[in-house]
Amino acid sequence: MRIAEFWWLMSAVVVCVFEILVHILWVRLFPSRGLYRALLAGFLAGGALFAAMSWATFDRPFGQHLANLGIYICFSYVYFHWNNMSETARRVRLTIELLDHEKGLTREEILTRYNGREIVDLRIRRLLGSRQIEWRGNRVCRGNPSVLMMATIMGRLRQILRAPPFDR
Amino acid sequence: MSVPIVSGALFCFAFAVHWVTWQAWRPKASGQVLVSLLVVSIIIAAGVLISLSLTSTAVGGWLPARAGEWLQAIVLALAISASYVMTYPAVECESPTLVIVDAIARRGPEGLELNDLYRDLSDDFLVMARVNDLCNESLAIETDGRFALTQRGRFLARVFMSWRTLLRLGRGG
Repeated sequence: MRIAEFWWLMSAVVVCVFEILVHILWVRLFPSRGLYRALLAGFLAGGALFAAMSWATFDRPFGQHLANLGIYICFSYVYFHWNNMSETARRVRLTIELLDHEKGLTREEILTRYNGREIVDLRIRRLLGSRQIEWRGNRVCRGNPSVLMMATIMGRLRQILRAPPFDR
Repeated sequence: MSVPIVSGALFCFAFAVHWVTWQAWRPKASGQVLVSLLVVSIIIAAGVLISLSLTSTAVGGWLPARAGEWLQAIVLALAISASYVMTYPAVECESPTLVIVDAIARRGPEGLELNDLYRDLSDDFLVMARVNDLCNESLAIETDGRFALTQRGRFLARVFMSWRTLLRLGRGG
């Protein structure tokens, strides 16, 4: 076993760390442009560095470059979800609310701080901002279908896993 | 090309194990069980394939030859699994965003009034079900009607708070 066999590891680590650094820097330099644009900037910067590093190690097998690209894309997806989760996940918000109260909160106290109406309002605002839905009079209607496609994919995955129906 | 193909095969095997397990038994702490199941399945399958590559010349020709390539194949399979694990909560706990978009789409061109959404998406569905999830995952505990974080829950909350502070963000949700 030679250390040179692990060339891809350094390349993958450097590109992923670079993506995180660009993302953090972008958010702090341009806070008004939002979290998701910063994530895109980080992904594109990391992608450019990945292309440069792959070009510099062009003599290595193509399959290994492809595998490294796969690792970078998966990392970016996980990193996006990590940030999205910290922004939108209800469980994360609930743990943050509970963190301030060592003796805990009752159901009523939890619902005073975070409730269904606030959750719906936050999501409606985000969906309107990304043009997934639009106002027509006093009603909300379908807009850009990309999130709807995601909902359909999740529905299919639920069928594959035969997940039980939810109680609303 | 053997590295990405082996990675894909390792993930497919792990997904098949997950599917079969979920048909027979659906754990309460599903996130933790899912992570363990995928990691263990990939490592066991990789171990079997490495043994095959060392013992059988017929099969060995199709598999990675060097330790560096094997490690890369395992890392890629784990990276694909991590992507799946991050997607999984949206399958299990139906994301409110997807539910809202789906409900609006079902109404067709006339759309939906916000009051319909407030009525259909109750506090129990949106909030208390997630509080119960925190208890099932041992991140919170209920005592005399009060919900409080466990040590693990406090650690997780601090990690997210630190991350959001670094990015100068609010509480989210």
